[in-house]
Amino acid sequence: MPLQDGCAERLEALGLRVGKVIEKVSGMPFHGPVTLLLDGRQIAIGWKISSCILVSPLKGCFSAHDRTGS
Amino acid sequence: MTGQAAKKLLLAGNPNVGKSALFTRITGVHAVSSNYPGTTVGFLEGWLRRSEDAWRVIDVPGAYTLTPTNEAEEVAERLVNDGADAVIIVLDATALERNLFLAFQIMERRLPVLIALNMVDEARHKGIDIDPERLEELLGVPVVPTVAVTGEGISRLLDRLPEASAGRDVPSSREDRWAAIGQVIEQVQKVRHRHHTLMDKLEDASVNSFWGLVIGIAVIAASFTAIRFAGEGLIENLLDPLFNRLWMPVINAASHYLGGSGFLHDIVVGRMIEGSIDFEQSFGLLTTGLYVPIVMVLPYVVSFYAMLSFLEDFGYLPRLAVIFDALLHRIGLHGFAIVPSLLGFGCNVPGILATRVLDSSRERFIAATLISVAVPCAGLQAMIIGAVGEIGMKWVAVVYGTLFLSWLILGRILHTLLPGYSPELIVEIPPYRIPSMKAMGMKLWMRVRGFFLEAVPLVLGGILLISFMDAAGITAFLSRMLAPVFSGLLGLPAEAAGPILLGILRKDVAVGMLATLGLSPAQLVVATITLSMTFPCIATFIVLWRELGGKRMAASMGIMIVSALTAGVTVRLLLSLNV
Repeated sequence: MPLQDGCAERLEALGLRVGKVIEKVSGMPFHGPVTLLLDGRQIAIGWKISSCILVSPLKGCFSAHDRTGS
Repeated sequence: MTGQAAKKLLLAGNPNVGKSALFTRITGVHAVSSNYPGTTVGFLEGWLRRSEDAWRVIDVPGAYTLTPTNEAEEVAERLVNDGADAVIIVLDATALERNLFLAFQIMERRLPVLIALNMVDEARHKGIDIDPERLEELLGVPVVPTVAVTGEGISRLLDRLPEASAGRDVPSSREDRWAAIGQVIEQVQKVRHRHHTLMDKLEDASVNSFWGLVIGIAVIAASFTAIRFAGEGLIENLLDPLFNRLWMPVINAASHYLGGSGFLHDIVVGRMIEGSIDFEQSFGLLTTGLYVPIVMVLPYVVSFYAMLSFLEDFGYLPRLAVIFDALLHRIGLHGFAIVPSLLGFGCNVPGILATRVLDSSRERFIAATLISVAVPCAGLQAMIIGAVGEIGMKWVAVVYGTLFLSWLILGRILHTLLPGYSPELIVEIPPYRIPSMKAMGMKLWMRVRGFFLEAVPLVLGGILLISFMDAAGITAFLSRMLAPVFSGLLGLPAEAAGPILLGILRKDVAVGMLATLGLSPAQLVVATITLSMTFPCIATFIVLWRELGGKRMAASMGIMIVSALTAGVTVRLLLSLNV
């Protein structure tokens, strides 16, 4: 990821790591931050970082439940 | 360590898990707590007596990890590495998994640990059941469920202080740590399904791309309206009549006693304005010196902090960070910089201190400089509304509009010129909570008391200084020296130099002085803008020096003076085209 140092660590310390189930709550316009729901908690992350999070949809789930990949 | 010496107790945990509330409960020392991450950026100390032992209790700033990613976390890492006789790890029961990451890092350092499983009431409410006995068994350290804001479980926690232990061995590699945490969670936590409540819907709407903006604008507009309404109401219906009815007779008697004129009379009571005393214009210690801080400024300070405390404790501020992130990114900051900036509207000092939550030193420099240039504190704003508002609200709008544009333009310039990048926002958004009236009242009281203790002596000192400078001819000398800048560039009379220089002490009283000079509306606006933007008041100056260091503070001051003059001249030219 072409991001500053410690960014991945920071996401990880917030509990966002490979294999977690997340739900996108919203995204602000003009490349604003994306808000995610993770373990019942909202976290907001900058647009650039969020574009580096790969997700794959959970099977058999109608709402926007996604799964992070690396 | 001998039995007599004080033992050291650390309170550590993730941001916004209730450490400060717990600290206040344990020590009786009032720590400011709010509902957003990063309220405690330095650390606080207090004392706890427990049977024979005296404990020195340290409220460690909130950290997600001991591999620091910002200054607050650096402080936390240092405090933990210094060691302690016991560490209370405060865990947020509603986000146990993430909280255990830091707990494991602390336990890895083999310090005697006990765990306060905090906010168990909120967790239960959210359908999260945690088995504390099982957690205690797995970790090998005492675990006590607590609710720090109500005090539930705290005496049990302190009773078990002697049982603090290093606990089981924990894995030190990151992957193993998460795997171990996963196993713990599986065994101690059960999550029940729960329907969306109204609060949940409001939380989602507040960061929605459309509704978030609508709510944000509504909240800001409503806040400022409420602050002005309450501030003005307090002045017009309570404090001004009180001063005129009760204090005026005392002053009249004092004036008569002092002979109605002369040096001492002018210092204590002030000059007579058209044969009588005018609280706003006489500039005596007992007249303007008390009227400005108590009647004109205090009501706005109280209403501002009441509003801010509510928004803080409800948990709204981090949502503003989300809404403003895209805008702030264009001036080199990320959205969370909105929180220090809002604090700056009360007083620049806590605002600049709060920039410590920002990630890079570049970002902190930009944020601190922008706050001191373009964020007017409550005292200054009260006087802008009071003095400039007297000639029409349109002029107040010109002042605010210029400050806002300067903030945007200067931010953009700094972002372009300074090397480095603007870091991305990564912020946890706390759930909304109904604030406790008691906690909010206490916080309001501490802030208002702080204002009072600091502002009143400085205003009095400023007025005293002005009287002496006038008498000694220093004001006249400075006015002559600075006349080219003031009359040439800004189109102001030379006497405006005095008040603008007085701004070094306190800006509110300086606006009060400007108002006595009989300036034209355009001149008053230009002078107020220059005064607001140029060098900071003494308290802000000291905190800027401490936070930025001498060299970067000097750079910041240079930027302030240049932007103040640029804005002053530009507004002068624009107004002269029109008027």
